[in-house]
Amino acid sequence: MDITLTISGEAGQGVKTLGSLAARTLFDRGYFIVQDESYHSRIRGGLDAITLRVSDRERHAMRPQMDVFIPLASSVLPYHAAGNGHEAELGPGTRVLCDSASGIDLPGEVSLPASERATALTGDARAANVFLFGALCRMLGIPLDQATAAARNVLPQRLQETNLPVLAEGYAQPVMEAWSLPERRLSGYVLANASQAIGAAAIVAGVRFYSGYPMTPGSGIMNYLAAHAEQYGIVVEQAEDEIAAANMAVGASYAGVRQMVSTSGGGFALMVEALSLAGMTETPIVIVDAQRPAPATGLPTRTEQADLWYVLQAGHGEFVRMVSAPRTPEDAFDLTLKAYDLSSKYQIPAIILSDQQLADTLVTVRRWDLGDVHLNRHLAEQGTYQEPYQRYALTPSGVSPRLVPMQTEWPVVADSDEHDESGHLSEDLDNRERMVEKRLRRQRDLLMELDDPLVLGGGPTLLVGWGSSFGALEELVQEYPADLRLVHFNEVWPLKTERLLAEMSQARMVIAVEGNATAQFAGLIARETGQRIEHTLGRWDGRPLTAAFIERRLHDMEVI
Amino acid sequence: MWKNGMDIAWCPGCGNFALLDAVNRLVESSDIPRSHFLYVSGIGQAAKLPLYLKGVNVLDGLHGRALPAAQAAKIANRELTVVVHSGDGCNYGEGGNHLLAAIRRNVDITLIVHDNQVYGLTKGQASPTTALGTTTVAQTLGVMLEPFNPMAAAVALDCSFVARTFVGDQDHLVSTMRAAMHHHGFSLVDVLQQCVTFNRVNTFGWYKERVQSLPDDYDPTDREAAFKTALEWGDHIPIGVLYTHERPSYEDLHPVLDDQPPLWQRWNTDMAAYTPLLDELA
Repeated sequence: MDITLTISGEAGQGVKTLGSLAARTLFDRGYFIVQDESYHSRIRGGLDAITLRVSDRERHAMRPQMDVFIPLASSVLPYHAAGNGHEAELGPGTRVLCDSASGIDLPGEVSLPASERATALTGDARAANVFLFGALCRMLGIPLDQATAAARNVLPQRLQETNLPVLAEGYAQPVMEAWSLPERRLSGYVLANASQAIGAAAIVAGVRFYSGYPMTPGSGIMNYLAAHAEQYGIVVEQAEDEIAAANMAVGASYAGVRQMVSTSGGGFALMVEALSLAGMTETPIVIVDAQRPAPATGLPTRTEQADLWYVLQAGHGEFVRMVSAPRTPEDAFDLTLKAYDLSSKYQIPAIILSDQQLADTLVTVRRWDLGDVHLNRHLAEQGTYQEPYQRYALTPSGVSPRLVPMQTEWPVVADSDEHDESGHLSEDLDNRERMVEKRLRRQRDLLMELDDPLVLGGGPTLLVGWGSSFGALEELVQEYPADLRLVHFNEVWPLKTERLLAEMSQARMVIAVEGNATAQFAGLIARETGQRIEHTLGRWDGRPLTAAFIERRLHDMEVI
Repeated sequence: MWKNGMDIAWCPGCGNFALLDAVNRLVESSDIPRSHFLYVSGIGQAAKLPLYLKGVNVLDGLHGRALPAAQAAKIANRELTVVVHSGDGCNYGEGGNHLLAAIRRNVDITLIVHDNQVYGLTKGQASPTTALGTTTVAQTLGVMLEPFNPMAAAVALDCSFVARTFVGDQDHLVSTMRAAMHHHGFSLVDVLQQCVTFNRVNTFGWYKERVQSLPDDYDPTDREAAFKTALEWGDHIPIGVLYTHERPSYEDLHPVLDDQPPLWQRWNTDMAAYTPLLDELA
């Protein structure tokens, strides 16, 4: 069972409310959800489309062929035409539910007096969404009491009394029950996007300070932490710019708190000098870059995997960093905890490469087991450092015991200039050599902490992917297990290459699949292994990779 | 040049030496233990001062970016006494936006600006406070930008504490910096000092002839009078505490920064506390 339903309208028409009502109802009924939002960068008008994929098994990607279409405005119809290639598409079997006042005329359409009845019952035509929601539940074979429960959960208290009769009337419409979705038992799951998962993991990891500057799609994490700030004791500071946000991150971490910064590519650009400062001062920081299509302002509300080389190289000079790229919201939680742990342990910046797809797409994922979480701040304990204390003491691993101010009586001296073991500026060139080697040799042990890539399928054609492309690739390999094999990374720097090389040597053909135009991960693999991946398959229209998109390209390449 | 057993990177005769002596006097005479001080700086000759102090915490960051780091460190640990030392270029040029925001944010830290009206470490270019018409290696046709008036800008922004002092008067220097440090809220101290190598106009003698302590009956809480005083520059340059506005600091206003231990000491490993976070998503 696999149903795709799309609610599409202009920004400001309440698409989100209808989407949330549907998602809540279907999640509560025990179905797995993937909820994508496709929208223009504006407050009114344009396009705002929510697509829900409803399934009886766990999925992590969209399916662009609509089974049910609820257009709220005729202006959005061209976006959803069959074969448009970007938005959820109309097909021959798509059922259409719409308001008879909308002037929409599509084959197979069920036209209902939604705004007319909404106005009659509440005095507000906007309640038409609730009417259509009622009709949708009827179409999906969901009982009215479940729809009502969801409405009580999602709608603001003040609207419930007037809107629940609208819901009931929508439900009573003569709509054919096209599906009958029985109640399923689904326990141990949550419905989350990566902004929520990263935010929740940051709180669990002990984040006490967030600094940032609003930028779509990175702001979701700021908003999440702000909403939980008082309850969990977090100072959320909207800085004057991203330069300040990143330097605040260094200051807060130097003084001993776990911090978080989130942004998108353009904001990250302003943080780069501070990234280098964290590298030189060996200050742990965690930064999320929620990628969107660039260069420059690009497409603010769309997705892309095109900041990989950028975050790998960002910052002047040479320093150790780690870069993770979550596959799903579930993975984002785990990788965020790991980013905090390893950045503290190795005293390095950790970058989490999210993207708009991950940040905005709600997915049903397994609930995290907090019993598995073991926190460590990795601050030096008495007896583990030499006295007098030196912040940059030379050690075989390159990791110096880390104190923070007032942890002991010892002062903590951190310097962005090249410095000696005590932290004092030094222009001694022998010292320079020792310090460069000390800082860089931490990467050896760091690499050992990372996981091997995930491998799925048993076919002769090897697909190589990373980050948010996972859901689409996983689905495709499950469909073609005898043709395809997948090797997929969620930790992209430092790069663990053994398993990849073994897989590549056995493959008949290797194809890099990425959400960008220049196959950046394939380029990284070539740089690190000397092995060039000849075939690449990219997507750069700002929309997430789907199994259908990749499948079409693989057909063209005569691989499947 | 060697001093206090350290190889100090300043030119002989630099105004920074008097400042260093004053800071040492301030730290020595203070009841606050050395390990509770955090000195933060940007980049420049002035910004090296914290590295010549003993026993205090130091975070020597990026050019222009000392203030964001210093404010965050203070938020992380309210028990630290946080003082920023950096030059006119660092604070009024590169970090201008951060100065505006720091004044508005009013975190309880002190900013000491070593203002010698020129860029020293990069060898003689104009700073935001260089006088109109001054020719330099970079401004070969003379400075065409109106000089920045930090005192007037700070009063205009209702900065919680605004003062100016001069390296030629040790007692005034120490007492002004002490008052700033004890003031609750964001404090700005502009310190006039000579650059013996690159500023041949605003010399020690030039300042000495012009600086005048504010009269005893001066009322620093009168904002309009303070603004007028802040505009005085030329034959007479007023020094002293120009303006104060006692009000709650950022930390006082922030409900998270209450009477509990400082943020950095709050560390929770009881995972049960986070169950509601996951329940919310189910």
